Amino acid sequence: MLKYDRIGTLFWTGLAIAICIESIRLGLGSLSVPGPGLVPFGAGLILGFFGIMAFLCTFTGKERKAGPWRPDTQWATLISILLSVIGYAFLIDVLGFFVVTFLWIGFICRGIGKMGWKATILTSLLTTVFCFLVFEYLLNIRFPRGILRF
Amino acid sequence: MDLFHNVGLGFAVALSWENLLCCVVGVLVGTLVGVLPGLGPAATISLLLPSTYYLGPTPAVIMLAGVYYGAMYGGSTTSILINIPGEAASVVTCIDGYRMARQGRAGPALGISAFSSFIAGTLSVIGLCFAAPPLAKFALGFGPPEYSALIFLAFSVVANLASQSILKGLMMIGAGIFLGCIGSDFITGDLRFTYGSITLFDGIGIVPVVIGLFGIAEVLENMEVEAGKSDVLYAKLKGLFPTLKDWKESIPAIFRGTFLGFFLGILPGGSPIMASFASYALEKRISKHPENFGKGVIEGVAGPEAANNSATGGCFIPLMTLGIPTNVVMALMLGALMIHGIRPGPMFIQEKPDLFFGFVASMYLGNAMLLILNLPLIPLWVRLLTIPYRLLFPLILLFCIIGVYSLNNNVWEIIIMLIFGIIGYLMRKFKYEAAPFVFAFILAPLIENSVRQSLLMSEGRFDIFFERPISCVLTIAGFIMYLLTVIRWIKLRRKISYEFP
Repeated sequence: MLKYDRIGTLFWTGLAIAICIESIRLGLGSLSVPGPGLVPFGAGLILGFFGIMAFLCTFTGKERKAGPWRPDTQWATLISILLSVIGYAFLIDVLGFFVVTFLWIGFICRGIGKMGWKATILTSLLTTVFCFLVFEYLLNIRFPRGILRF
Repeated sequence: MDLFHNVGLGFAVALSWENLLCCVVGVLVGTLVGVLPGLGPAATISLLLPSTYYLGPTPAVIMLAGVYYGAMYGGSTTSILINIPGEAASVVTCIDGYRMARQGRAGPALGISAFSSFIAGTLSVIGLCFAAPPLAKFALGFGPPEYSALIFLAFSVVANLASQSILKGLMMIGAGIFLGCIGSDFITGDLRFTYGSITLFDGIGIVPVVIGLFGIAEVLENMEVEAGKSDVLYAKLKGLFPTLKDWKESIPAIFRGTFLGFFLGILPGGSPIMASFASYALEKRISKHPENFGKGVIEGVAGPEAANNSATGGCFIPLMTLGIPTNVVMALMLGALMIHGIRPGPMFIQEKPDLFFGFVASMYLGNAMLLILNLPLIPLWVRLLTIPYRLLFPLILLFCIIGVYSLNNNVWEIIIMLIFGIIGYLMRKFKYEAAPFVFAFILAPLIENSVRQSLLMSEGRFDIFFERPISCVLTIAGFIMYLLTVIRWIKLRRKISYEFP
């Protein structure tokens, strides 16, 4: 775990340095007339200072056996979920809410939930219709229709 | 007289059909998420934030508050029946509640949990009603230095209460403040850290960040391994009404838990989780038979359940009177109010008595609803525990996506949500807490505003924080808290050898 902590604290410290550099570029101003970069600079200092302290602490602590990842972590499932959401985001304006939601729920149920085809189609259709009715008619949210105008 | 008039106004507001419906929906959804392990009140409130955009501020706050105290009610059900807390504040209930269930006393355990929650919830609402207006009057004297000092103190408490690591908690405060600074500067109008992205011009929205950190991260964490079958007690529940002996043993614990929870809820960093642990420790310490704790004593259920429900009322006092959230759920409630253009503060109760007292009255009604609805519904909640997570998560994900997209019809906000979902998942894995991060992110505009205004007022002198009495007291209290944090950190470093604190 300490090895991962070392990487993590280095990442945050690196981010803090980047924040401080960009804040200086924005302008710190003076204490009597603070500039737009003053508070982000302070935030960067807090992050960096405690990041360095935490990094140094990783050298004095004793290694604990358990790492952050479980041995049976289903990476394929997690990556599929993330990629499918990205796909949803970029297709919603093109295909429209109804089509993309139906396809997305179908993918999740069949691909990740390992449902049968009948159950997948039924679940996708019912979920999409339910969400469409609730959000479009009850909450008056206008969803994109997409190229299919549906 | 004025107070009674306002309470009457509050009930008139809370009893309107829209508010009553929102209250019912809130408490039912809250109980549901409390019952289902793997979806806490913070995640649910963040999921529901976008839907409140289409409601008025009063029904929105009523519904979200209903989710919060409903979850406190529901959380005990899984703690008692399957030894899995539905949400963090019910962890303590597992200790004696589950033991009682194994001894065939699941009914009285669930019953006393519901009754103590009702009693504590009702008393804390009365406390909120009486304590908030005087505190708001006192807070009228608050200017930028006082707010700066108050936030300085609040951060010291939040960092001190970080359960994983104090250093990581402080780092997250820095990261949260930075994130809140993204977008245009409120004084000069300069764009900061936007790099040409139109989506970032107004800053990163609260909704994508909190839905990502809580909703998406929760789904990813639950989906990383194949879910096992839950060990639900299918024995028929009987005797939900506690016996006279049970009541005799529980009543003092309920009242002690109520008062303790209420005051712990008011403190910055205070939460129902802390209240339930403190109540359990108190009951065990003053008990004549402390050795029985952990073996199924009813006080071990009644006290913590009262405390966590009472704390929910107490938490709203600093939020409504000072505009300062004391925990992450309150930070989300502040976000909900800000979405509607409302910034709670000292003038909030005077300017919006209908909202404040309507909300208080709805909490009273909500507590009564929970008692009436939940006792007969316990068998249904138990059945819901058998729904596999792989059937629930597509719906949760879809609500996350629709919730974020519907705000501005902007696909980039879905991507921001996803990025924070990954960050939130990694934070959980590497033991960084999301609470101080969200806390600092939501308060960042207030911090920046008050610090810069204080410096402008004093022409760059820091002694402005010590010249004014309230600000001076708060600043000194903050320094003391930071000193205590350092002492605690040094002690932890000596005690814990395998990790850094």
